[in-house]
Amino acid sequence: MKRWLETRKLARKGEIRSVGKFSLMVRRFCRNKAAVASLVFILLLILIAVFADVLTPYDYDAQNLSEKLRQPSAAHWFGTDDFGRDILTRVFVGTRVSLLVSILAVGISTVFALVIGSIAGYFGGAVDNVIMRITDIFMALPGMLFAMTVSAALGTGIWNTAIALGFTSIAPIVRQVRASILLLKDQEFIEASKAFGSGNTVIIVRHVIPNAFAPLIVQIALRLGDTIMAISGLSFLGLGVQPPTPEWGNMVSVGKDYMSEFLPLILFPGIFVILTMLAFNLLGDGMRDAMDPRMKR
Amino acid sequence: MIRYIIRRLFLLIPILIGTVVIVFTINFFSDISPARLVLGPTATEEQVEAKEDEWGLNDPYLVQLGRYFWRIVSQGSLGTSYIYNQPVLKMIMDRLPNTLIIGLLAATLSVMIGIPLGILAAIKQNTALDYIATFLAILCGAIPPFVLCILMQLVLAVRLHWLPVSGIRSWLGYIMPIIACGVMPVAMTCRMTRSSMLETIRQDYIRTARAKGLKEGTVIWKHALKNALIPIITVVGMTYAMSLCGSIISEAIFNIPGLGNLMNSSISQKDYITNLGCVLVAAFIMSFVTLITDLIYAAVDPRIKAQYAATGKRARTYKRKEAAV
Repeated sequence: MKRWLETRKLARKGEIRSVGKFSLMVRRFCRNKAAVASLVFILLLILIAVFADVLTPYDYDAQNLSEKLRQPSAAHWFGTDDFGRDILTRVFVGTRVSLLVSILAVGISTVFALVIGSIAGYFGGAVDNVIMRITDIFMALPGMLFAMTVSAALGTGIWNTAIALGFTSIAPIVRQVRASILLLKDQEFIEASKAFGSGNTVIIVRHVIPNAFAPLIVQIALRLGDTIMAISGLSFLGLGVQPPTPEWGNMVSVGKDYMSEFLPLILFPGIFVILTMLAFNLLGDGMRDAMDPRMKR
Repeated sequence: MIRYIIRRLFLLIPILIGTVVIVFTINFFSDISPARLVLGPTATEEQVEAKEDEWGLNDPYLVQLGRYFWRIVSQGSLGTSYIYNQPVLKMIMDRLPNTLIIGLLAATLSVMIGIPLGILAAIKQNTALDYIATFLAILCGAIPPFVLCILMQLVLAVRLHWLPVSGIRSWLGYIMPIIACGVMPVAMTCRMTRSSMLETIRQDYIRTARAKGLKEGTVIWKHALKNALIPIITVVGMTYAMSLCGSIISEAIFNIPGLGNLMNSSISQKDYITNLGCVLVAAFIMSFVTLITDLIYAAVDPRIKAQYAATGKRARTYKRKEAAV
């Protein structure tokens, strides 16, 4: 007790600092250059998405048919598309659309999966059995086919695409949440909370979900990347986000018709998808290594 | 073991029923009528109504769903396409071989690149080789299939004239779709192989094997890889399952008459019954490959085989007890 008081006194004076689990994690993360670079790139993408309208002098929808399909130049860094619209502006606005839809989609699936997975893992028994059998069915549905079906039924547009992609990716997250809840369930702090007389809802919301969330963060980073890829795939096929709203996939889809003479419409949106996917993957890997350093060294 | 397989095959039934119910429900609540699309904009409301009655689209939800199941059970039929007026099952079966050939070869390609790359990365952990291999794998997973398809089409077909731009009139036409479908899963395979190998290499029995003075090659191939195989098989199974269901994007770009293309056209033409058939067949393929994956576990790992066998035995004792009661 005495030693503890002394340590606390020193800590108050700022002579020693305690190193928490979180700051250790941050330190390990910062050592991973690829992950830090990815984080910077993603922050940059977010800035681009927010300020897409003011970053370039052009309007994403302003047509100028006398200037169509121009190669990259000083005035139009990425060139112009088949309606003479500035490709750079459209790629930037496309960044906004892609990030927005993927954050919405991952948000939807995570919230639902957390609730459903917690209920399944926490209550166990028949409830768990029913939920997991339904999850099995959803897992057997091939992802892209299912997403296309839902997207076709809901219709196109930002919200519908987000709902379609969110809805179709609930099942795998439910499984993961349930697995981590099963590990959590028997730990002392849950028992303590029960001993204090907390109800099931309080325990799930206050104790179970926050603790299950940490391992989910890595999954969320990876899912954001995958969802961006799925959005562009759907939009490329004419589902998902449709022109005139610019989206990387639907821009490439237009570029396909001009591929033999005009590349910028395929190249630049393509490069953005690739870099974004790379960034989210490396970020996810970096976060996983930082949280679970056993894997790294 | 055979009992286990039979039990698993029976477990497929609820999954397939569930698939039909889910997809049917989603399509049921979609508000565009296929009759309107078939008859064209000039058709009157009465004509559309008559066509919908002919297809039974105006019946209540449960009646339609029940009819779909009854047709499967009594006639083994998945219905008739609204647009093509052909049996859905026949349309799928005509196209499935193309998808299966491409899927099988693409998955094999990705496994043949991904596993060696992963092993290499694990053995040479934290060296330049590891970083290059890992980065290559992640890059493979980051290239969107439509960009890869179009760039290949542009370079290999349009500019160099080595391969046909689209279609599969000759075997050359299969090359680009196979590459396009095979690249993306490399990322997953390589990653899983690497992390699984890393975990195994740290085990005590690997140190023992090295201490015994075994050659490094023997340690890696006989001791480490064999024990690291289970998660790798899981990923390989997933790769095969996904590829065999057809890549919608590459089939669309290379104009290949396969399951993915049928799916795509059925969606754009609101041909719900064909769409439902396609998803059902794809779900069946997925579940079947999962079953095969589980059986391969048993072949690789005697512990899992013992487990499977025990299920059968346990089931028998359980039955005996029940009979006694």
